[in-house]
Amino acid sequence: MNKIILKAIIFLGIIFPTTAFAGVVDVTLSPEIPGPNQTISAGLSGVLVDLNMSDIYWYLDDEIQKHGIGEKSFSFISGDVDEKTVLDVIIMLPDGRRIDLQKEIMPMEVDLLWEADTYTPPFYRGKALPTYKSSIKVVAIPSGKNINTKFIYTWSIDDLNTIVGADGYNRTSFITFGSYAGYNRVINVSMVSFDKSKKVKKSIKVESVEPELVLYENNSLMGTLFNKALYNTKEIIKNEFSIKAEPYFVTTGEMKDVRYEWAIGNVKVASEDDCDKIITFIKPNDGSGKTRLEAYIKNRMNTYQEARTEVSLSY
Amino acid sequence: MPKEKNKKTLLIIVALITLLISAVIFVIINPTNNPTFTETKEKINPFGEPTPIIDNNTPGELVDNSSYNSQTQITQKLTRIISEPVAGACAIVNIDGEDMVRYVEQKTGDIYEYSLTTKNSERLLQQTLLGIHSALWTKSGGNVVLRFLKEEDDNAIIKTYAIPLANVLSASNTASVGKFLPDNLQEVVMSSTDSEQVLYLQENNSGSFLMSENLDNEGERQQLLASPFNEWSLEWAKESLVVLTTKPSYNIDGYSYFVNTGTRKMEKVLGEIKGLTTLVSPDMTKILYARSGKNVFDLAIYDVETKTETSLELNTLPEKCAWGAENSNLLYCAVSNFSNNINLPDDWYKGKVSFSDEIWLINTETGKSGVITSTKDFLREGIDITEISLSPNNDYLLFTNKKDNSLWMLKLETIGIEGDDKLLNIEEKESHE
Repeated sequence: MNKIILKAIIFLGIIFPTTAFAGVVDVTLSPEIPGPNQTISAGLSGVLVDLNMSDIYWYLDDEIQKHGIGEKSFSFISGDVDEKTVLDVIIMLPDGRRIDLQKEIMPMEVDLLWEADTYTPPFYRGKALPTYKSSIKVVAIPSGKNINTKFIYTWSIDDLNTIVGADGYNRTSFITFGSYAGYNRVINVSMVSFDKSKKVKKSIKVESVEPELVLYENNSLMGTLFNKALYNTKEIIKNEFSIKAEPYFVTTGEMKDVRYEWAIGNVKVASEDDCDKIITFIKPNDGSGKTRLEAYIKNRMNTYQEARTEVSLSY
Repeated sequence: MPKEKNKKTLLIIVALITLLISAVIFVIINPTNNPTFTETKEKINPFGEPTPIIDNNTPGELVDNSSYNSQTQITQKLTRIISEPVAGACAIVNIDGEDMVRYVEQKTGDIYEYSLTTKNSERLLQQTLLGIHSALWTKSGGNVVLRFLKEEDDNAIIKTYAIPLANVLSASNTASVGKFLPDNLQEVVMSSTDSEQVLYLQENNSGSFLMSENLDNEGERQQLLASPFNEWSLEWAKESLVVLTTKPSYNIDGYSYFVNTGTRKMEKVLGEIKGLTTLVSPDMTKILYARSGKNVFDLAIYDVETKTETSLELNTLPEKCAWGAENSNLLYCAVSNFSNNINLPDDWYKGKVSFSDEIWLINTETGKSGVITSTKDFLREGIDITEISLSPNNDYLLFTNKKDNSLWMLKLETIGIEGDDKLLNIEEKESHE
């Protein structure tokens, strides 16, 4: 019986459209741009009509979900990525007039990938991490059916202020800079399709780290032995042993400004321009012993980018 | 007193006879005649304890000349086949049906072939390339790509040199054998089939380009994908599909995408997984992946079709595993007990930590898993396994010890190939869905 009444209401609505109320009542969604499988709260607002005395019908994909006098809100769960849900609301005002409202929800997903423009040794298989003031590129990759859709992008960081010049059509990437070590930078993107039918928002946090310095054996035949870092104690068997200091996460473009300092047994090793990445340890002639080798790097262009390490050499 | 002595002797004789009968009954009623497993779940060695070995073996030396369990007569052989540092190797079967291993010597770039029958190495190609970082092989061993550094104007340039070895070996003149691919390629992968194609990522200021190039003389190049993102790791398990995974770091979200090289479409398969590292099965229906973040390390299998995942509860990284060559239900993994206070995979990549691995076999269909062998039983400090692969006939595992880049093999022939049989004999460790 209810179904017949509802169908009659919809039929009458088609015969006698209620355009006079367009914009008078609005249906709002929270969150405004829902993600996949997310709980959405829908609510009605309008000051020129008495919603509390109105009979309100809520439909999802043409199926009645809820109705009653003054039922101004309704919650539901969005579908998967690219799954369209149609929300219809029919409001029967006390004076018999009717208002039809409709919202289409098609959740989208976007991945925010980031990469820091910091140095890692050749063939390093891990991710380059951001350090203070290093450049960070953030790339938005829409998922599902929208992977090839072109959007209008709006980018912002931390305080949510839009970055001037970073927004626009098909601006799929955005560049920002690393915060102090241990602190996050929040990057937000808002994407709208050209016809405004598709919308999505996403935020990520990118935490900066301190640069790192790792020592490796520099072998004359095999090159730098990246497979085995030198730490704690290294037993030196050969008469001459070359050690290379490899920085991690210094700004790539400033690698030429990195200065290297070495100290053996607390005595600084003299160097003309502190540019020596490699030091050769020559075993003393007088028997065995142990000495501490320290290495320190500093980026002359960015004093926050520095690192030190040490290894005990046993011979 | 003599009476008491006789009684005691009689009791001892009765006890001995009882023991003997029990032993005979045990052997007779044991239906599989397989070893029994009484050890703990953490370490199950179905082959008995091998004898300790010395560390200074010469190339090709059998490290453990087989360990014999009197009850089972099952043997196992873990062999260090090349002591000199190796840049990369592949297992092949030659036209005579012999098992061979082709490898590149790290110091010289020379290419060798090692016969598992004669235990001798023969140099196939002499090079003058010092310090080869890695050598990537096609499945058949017909093509190899060498990666190394060259200092030019105070800059270290990554060089990638491709050698169509099969063509070179069949030609009389080997003066000009290969060709250089573009400089500073961050990622290069060889075809998992016998194709002469190589895939690589070429970067510029605007992003990266996934390129394919033929290793033949024509050298046809093709752009398969353009991406504004650079930091991808590549996997190429199936001819038409490439996996792009973001380079990993501890506690940082990682993403994996399939790229169809025909349609050139990109499809997300995994996302927002901390420290994500992956290994795709040969048929690309499953992805072995590790999650590494604060207070969590998890190894799991993601089923691409059903979109479900199964936790394996093993501590290892996917790159320390190899899928069964023709069976995506079998997985061999080098597993070690590492503590939670290391940042994986970063610290392992940097060479700041190394492991002493056990080799496990996992049947991903049944969830059964167990230890095949522990490398510590063969080498005092154990082996930190990397670059692990399965031979074409599934009869041995080939891998490198990351600690010194020596080349090792583990024969699997005595413990069957199908997996289920051998897993029946290994204490089960059920997986959790």
